[in-house]
Amino acid sequence: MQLDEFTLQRAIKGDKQAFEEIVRIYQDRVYGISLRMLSNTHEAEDCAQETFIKIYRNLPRFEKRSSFSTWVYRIAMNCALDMIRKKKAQQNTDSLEEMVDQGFAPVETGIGPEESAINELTNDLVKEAIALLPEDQRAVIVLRDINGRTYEEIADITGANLNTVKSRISRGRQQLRKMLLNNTELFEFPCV
Amino acid sequence: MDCRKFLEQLDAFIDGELTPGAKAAMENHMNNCPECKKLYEDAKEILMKTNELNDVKAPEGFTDAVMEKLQNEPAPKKPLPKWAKWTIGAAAGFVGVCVLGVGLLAGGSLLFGAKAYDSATTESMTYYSTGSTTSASMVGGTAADKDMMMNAAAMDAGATADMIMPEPMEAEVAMEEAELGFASTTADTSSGEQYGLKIIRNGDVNLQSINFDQDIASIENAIKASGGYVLSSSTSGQPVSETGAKWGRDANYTAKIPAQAFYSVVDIIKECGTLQNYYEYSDDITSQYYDTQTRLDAYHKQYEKIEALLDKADNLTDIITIQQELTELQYKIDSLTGQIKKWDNQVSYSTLYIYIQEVRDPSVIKDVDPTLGERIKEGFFDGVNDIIEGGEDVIVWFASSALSIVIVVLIIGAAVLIIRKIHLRNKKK
Repeated sequence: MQLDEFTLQRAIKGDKQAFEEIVRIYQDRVYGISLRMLSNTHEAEDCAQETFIKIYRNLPRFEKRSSFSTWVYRIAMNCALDMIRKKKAQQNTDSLEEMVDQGFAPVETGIGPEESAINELTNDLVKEAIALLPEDQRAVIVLRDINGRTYEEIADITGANLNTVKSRISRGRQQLRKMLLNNTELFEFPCV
Repeated sequence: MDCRKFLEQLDAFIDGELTPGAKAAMENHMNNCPECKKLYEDAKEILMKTNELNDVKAPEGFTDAVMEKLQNEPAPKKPLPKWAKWTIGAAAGFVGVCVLGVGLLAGGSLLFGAKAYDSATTESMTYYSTGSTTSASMVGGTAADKDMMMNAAAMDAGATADMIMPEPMEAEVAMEEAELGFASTTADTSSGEQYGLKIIRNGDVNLQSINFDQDIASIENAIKASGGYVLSSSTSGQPVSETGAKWGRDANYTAKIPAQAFYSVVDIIKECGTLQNYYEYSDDITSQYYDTQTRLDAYHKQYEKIEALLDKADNLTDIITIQQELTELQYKIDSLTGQIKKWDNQVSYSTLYIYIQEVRDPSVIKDVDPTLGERIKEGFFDGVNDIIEGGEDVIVWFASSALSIVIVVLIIGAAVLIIRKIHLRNKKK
C-alpha cells in the first residue's frame, strides 16, 4: 500500500484518521527496523510506537526536503539508536572485535572449520549475528540488506556521507561473514 | 587483480556499484581463484538470508495501540514561518541586550554608590558644634569646612546660640503638620526609613575630657543602654595625674547604634567631656536597595521554574545542563541576598566614631571661638609655658646625666693636671 499526497496533507493538518492511515502503511517497516536493531519484540514495539508518536508531533515540520518514507525511517532509526545507547549505558559488554578475534560464534553449530557452515545457515543465526554488530554497522546493514534502501537514502537517513555509508556496509558484511562462517582463515588472503 | 583487491571490492560488486571494467576484472579473478569464488558465493548466500529478514509484521493491534496513545495528544502546532522566527529571534536578542544594559547600569551604580559611600565625607556632610555666639561656629576642620559653615550660617541669619539640630527641627515640622491635620511625614525620622527610605547614617564625635575615666564610662553606658554595641575600641597614653603633662590618655571607639536611637546617643555623648567637633554624613541607598531586591525576586522565580524542569528531564545531558543553570542562579541569589543583608544591617545600625582626649585642666581646653585678644594672650602664655617646660626639660636632662658628667669632668680634670705637671717639669729643666 502506498501513501498518497492527499492523505499526507490531511495528516499534516492534524486529521487523525489520515494519520491512522499512515500508521497502517508504515507499521511493518517501522516495526521491522526497530526489531532488527533491538532484537527484542517488546522493546521493538515500544520503539515503533514512540516513532509514530514523534512522527505525529512533528508532521507540521516535514519540509519535503526528502521523501516521506526516508523521513519516517530516520525517525525510526534514531528512536532505535537512542534505546540501544540507553541500554548500553546500563550494560558492560566486551567489544565485538575482541569477541570475533576469539572465534566467538553466537550459536554453536557443531560444524567444524573443515566443512562449510553455509549450508546450515539459518535466519536465526543471521539475526543474532546482526544483533552483535556495532550500532552504526547494524543500522546500515538493516537499511541496505533488509530494507533495500539505496546508498543515498541511507546517507540521508543516518546523516552520514556516502563514502562512510559504503565503508560501514563493507565492514558490517565482513563482520557478519566472520561470525556466520566461523572461519577467519577465509579472510587472510589465501591466494597471496 | 589479486585476492586482496578482490576482497576490497567484493561488496561493491555484490551491490552492482562497479564500473563495467572493474566488474569484468572481478569475474575474471573468480574464474581463476576458486577460493575467492567460494567467498563470493557465501557472501551472496548471507545477503540472501539477510534479505529474508524483511518479512516482518507489526504485532496485532499495533495501529490501534498507537492511536489510543495519541487520543489525548493535541493537534501538532504548525511551526512559525522563518520570517517570524527571525523576528522573534531579533526581538529576544534586543530584550537580552536591554536586560544586560540595565544590569550593567545597576552594577555600575552599586559600584559608584559604594565609592561615594566610602568617600562620604565629601557628600552630605553637615558640621555642628556648640557655640555661644549668634553665628554658627566650629572648632577643628579645614578652611573649606569653615567656609561651608559660614555659608550655612548666613542662610540662617539670626539663628540663636546652638545650631538647630535636625531632629528638633523635624519634630517641630511634624507637630505643625499634625496641628494642620496632615499625617506626619517625618515619622521615625531618626531611622531614616520613612516610606521605605534606606539611609545609612554615620557620625564622628571629637571630645576633650578632664574626667577621663568617668567620661569613658558614660560613653560606654550610653552605647549599651541604646541597644547598640562597641565594634572596636582602643586606649593609649598615660594619665595626666601620673605624668603631669598637659595631654594624657586618648581613646577611640567605633560604635554601632540602633538607627532610631542614634541622635539620642549622640546628644548624650556630646556631654561626656567638651565637644570639639561633630561630623555627620549619610548615604541614601534606597534606589539601589529596591533595584537589588527586585532582581533577587526575579532570580528566585527563575530558579523555581528551572527547578521544575529537572523533574521532566529524562536524560543525563539535560539533567547536567539544568543543574549547572541552577548552580549559577543560586550563586547570584546568594550574592544579592548577602548584599541586601549587609545594607539592612547598615541601615538599622548607624555607625558612630568617637575620639576622646584626656587633658590636665580646663585651661588647656581651647575656647571654641576665641577672640583676637584671647588668641594673643593664649599665644603669649603658650610661649612662656614652652620656655618653662624647656627649662624643666634641661634640668631633668642634667639630673639624669649627672653621673656621666661628673666622670667626664674628672677625666678631663685629671688630664689637665697631668699635662700641667709635665709642662712645669719641662720648664724647670
